[in-house]
Amino acid sequence: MEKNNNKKNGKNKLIDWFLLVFVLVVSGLLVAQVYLNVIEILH
Amino acid sequence: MAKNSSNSISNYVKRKKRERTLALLALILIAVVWVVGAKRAAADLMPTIRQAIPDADHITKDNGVIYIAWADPEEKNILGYVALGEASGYGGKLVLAVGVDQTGKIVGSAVASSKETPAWINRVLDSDLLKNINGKKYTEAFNIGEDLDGVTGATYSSVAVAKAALHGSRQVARYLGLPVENQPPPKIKFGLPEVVLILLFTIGYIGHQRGFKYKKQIRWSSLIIGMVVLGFIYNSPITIAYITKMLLGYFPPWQTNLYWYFLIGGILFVFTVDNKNPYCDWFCPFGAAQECMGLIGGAKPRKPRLFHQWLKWLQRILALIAILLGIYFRSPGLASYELFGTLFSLYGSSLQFIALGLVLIASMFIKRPWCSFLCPVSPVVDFIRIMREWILELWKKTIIKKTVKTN
Repeated sequence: MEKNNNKKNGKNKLIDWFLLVFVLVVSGLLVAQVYLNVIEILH
Repeated sequence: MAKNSSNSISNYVKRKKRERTLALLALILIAVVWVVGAKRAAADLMPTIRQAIPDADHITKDNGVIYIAWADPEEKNILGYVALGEASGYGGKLVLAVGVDQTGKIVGSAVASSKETPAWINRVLDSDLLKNINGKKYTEAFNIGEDLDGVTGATYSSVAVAKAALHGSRQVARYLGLPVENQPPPKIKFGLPEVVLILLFTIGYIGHQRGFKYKKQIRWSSLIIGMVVLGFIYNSPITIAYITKMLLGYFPPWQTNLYWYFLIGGILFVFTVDNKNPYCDWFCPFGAAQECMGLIGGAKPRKPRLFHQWLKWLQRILALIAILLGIYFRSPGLASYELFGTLFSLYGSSLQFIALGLVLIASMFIKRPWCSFLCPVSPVVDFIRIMREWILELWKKTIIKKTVKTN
């Protein structure tokens, strides 16, 4: 029972970290695009 | 047990208070940036006006709308006139500085301000459209596809440039006392997208009724119709640019923009009356695309316990920055970072295509990852919900106070 719970917790933690990395990577790409747009408008 | 529940209540109250304070701060920040952006836009105008007649020695403002381009420093000979022509583009009002000679012929033009997405307006500026406008007179039609060639992939922007040139040249012609025919009012545009939008709102209304048997089926049909018609055919889902446009006070002519009014008006109406979001879960084309991907991989809704609050605030901060940049630069499309155009019209930069690929892959395993963690429309929905709740609470308190006083 405890082993199962630990396994489940470990899996949930892994998903949490995956989501964090996913959001940071995608938002990083989008922020970079907006930055390029702003640079373009300033020149 | 009782201590635990009182703790969670006090946490909830604290969180609510914090959210309301930050919502108010965001509103103040938007107002400040609005004013600073307006000053910046006014200061930026003169260099563009000069570009419309570059041979002029100097330019002076004659009245509110017309600028005189002088050929000499003594102001003896007039080279031409410059007017600021306006027209509606995809992102909002487009202003074109139009240089006109004494016979009413256009001699040069330059975009003074535009709310178009930079990539689209750049296509127009890189094309020959502005060159082809030179030499045209205020008596001509300025119709894209007839007397002017449009720019592929930037139709709205090319039409706006042509109409702004016509508007500017007519202003100068009127100033010079030349005969100018009055333009007929625009024709009311009511077509398939508007019909589909009304149909989708109706489907949503029926589907939201309590005890409705076929909610799942009707929701899926609404999603598919939204994805195909509003997404792939017309590419007009709601974006943060719509919100920025409204904050900038841009309301396009209703005759040609019924779709815009139906979409924004319908969502705000249902939200205010019913506190339900009729759009995101029911007919957002990008949401539908993610759910379709989710069918392939068996996606499940995931709420990260460790970082939930962090990710929620990151999403809100990104949306606020997008709005602030759009307002400061007077360009709603500038920071509209959604990937809708990239998916539905396959137009975007390599960065956007990589981001889209990641979102679509993640959608196979996580239900609507874009909507849950990245979409800038969700924080706006949250903001409306927070403010609505606050206003209702204040209103109820006032009524109770009044009732107590009268009793």
